[in-house]
Amino acid sequence: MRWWCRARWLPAAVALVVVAWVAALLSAEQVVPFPTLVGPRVPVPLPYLICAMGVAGIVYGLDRSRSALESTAVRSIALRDAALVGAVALACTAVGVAGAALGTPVVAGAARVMVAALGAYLVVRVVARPDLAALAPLGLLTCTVVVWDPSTGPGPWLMAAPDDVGAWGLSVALFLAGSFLLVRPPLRWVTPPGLRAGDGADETHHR
Amino acid sequence: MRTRKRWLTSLATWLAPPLLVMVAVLNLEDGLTFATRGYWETASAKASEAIAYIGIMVALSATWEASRLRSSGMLAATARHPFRVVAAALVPTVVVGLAATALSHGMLAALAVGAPGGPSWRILAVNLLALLGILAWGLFLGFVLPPKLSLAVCLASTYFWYLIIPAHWAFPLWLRYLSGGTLGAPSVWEVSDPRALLAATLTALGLFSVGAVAVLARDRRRTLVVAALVLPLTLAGASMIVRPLDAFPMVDREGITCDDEPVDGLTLCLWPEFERDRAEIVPVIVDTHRTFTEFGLDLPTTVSAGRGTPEDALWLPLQPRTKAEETVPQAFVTTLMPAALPESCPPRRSPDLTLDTVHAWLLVTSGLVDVHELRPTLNTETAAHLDRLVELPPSAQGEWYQANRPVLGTCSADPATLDPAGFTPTEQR
Repeated sequence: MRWWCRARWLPAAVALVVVAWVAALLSAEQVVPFPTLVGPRVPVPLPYLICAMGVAGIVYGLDRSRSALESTAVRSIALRDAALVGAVALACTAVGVAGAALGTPVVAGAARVMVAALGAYLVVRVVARPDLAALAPLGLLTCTVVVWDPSTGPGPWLMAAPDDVGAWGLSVALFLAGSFLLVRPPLRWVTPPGLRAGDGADETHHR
Repeated sequence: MRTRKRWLTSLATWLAPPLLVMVAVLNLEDGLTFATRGYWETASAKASEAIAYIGIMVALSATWEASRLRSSGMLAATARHPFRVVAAALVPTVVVGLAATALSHGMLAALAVGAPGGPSWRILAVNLLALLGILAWGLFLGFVLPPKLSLAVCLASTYFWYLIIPAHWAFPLWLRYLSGGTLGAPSVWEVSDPRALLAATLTALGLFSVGAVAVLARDRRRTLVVAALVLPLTLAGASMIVRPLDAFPMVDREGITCDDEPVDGLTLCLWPEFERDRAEIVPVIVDTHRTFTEFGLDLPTTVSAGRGTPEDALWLPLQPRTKAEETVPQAFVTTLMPAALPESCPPRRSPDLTLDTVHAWLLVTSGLVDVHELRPTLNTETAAHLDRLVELPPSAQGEWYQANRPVLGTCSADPATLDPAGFTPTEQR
């Protein structure tokens, strides 16, 4: 457990999530004018950006020790990883729900961004390049923002109203898909380089 | 690495299409729609705003290349100079960054084509230096941080630098000038403040030196020590330079020339940008000046499009490439209103009604709008005051303006002289 905590950079990663949430709550009213591909600049709530940045520690921790060594561990490392992201997502959702109940709905939107950001990272690192997966959280938010046409009302998905059930459903589905990919047995065609038998791609990293 | 492979494996290649589309859309929606036309300084300053997106891409791509060089251990193994190795790896990044910058400046040049002079080379130079600085920041992160952390940190830090600092209330307004891309949109009587450009240059040099040390030292600890010394020093120095600017990174433009021969008693000083439309502008200036003089306003006989130059001249904030019948009366209205209203006055200590009525009278007297057109847009009280005011003789209207105008710059209630019905002109006293 101690080894896993250190390998996953857990204290720093959790501290970063907490700092991000504090910053997000302090900036709840703040918006950032963001250009889009379909019209004028749109007001993106700053907590959304901060929360998408706040998962960087978790992402780095998960990326850190994906060596062949872990695949031979007796205890399931993947289950612990899944428990970690699940706990973070649950805690964020709880904060979001509490914030919305206290009259700050944008906090719920920020929680949704964090859930989707974690899911996006977990999916991208398996189905695309693991070395670019760290860009997925902020990249997903950016992609959602730049296709938002403000003249048509609330934005798509992550930019939708904080209580939009469909947007929440999509975020949770992405998160569940990512969690599934995290715990499922590795498939050859989607196995990250570090886990391929004898490929030694992570050697440099551990040098 | 072969050129083709270098391009295919560069992040810049894959980010180039969305970046170029983003820059084009940003300029179409913002710069080309709202900025002042016919003035190169504005075109260059607005074009430099694209650095917010180009900088993010350049930094990310540089971090990616530096991470790959770090992972491969290439710099330790090669006999070539580290700068040459890094420069070769950065070719796609630099080419895409320059292409996007050229696109931005090229698009916004449409605002000023045909105007005298050319692009503001100093803004362009600062723009490119800032780009070099952020590229070096990307290299620094790529060499110092673990590969899987560096990209995320780079993306977050550039979002913070370019998007959050200019928008968040917690950061002072002047801090945004350090990025080298938020220089406002100078009007024709303004130029970008050299202090803003200097601060951006200093910041870029600080970032560049940190990146250069990261490439040359190849020792993480030494690089971090240098960064910890250089970055705070340059950022503090740059901040000290721009701190007095607050929200206005512009200074008054100098070098206006005045006509030797007065026109109908008026000495005119116009910027070269107005030469093309001189024949249309001058008669309207003379007519509007005469109108206000006939109303009893004692206006200077030197009229200048430059603010505060020459001294004692009446400043007209004229906009190039607009209809003379619109820009000239609007310039008179602007200059005859107070330069700045108090930022906030206590309740009932603000001359709101006087402000509206004086403004309405200036609009009507300058000939910009007819009183019948204006009335529906005014509130009932202002409209009633205006109706009574225009019934007074011209000299009495001028006296009314001179009695009420000084109140507008103060925190005080509407004066008793506001209602023209209760206003007694000098000749009737």
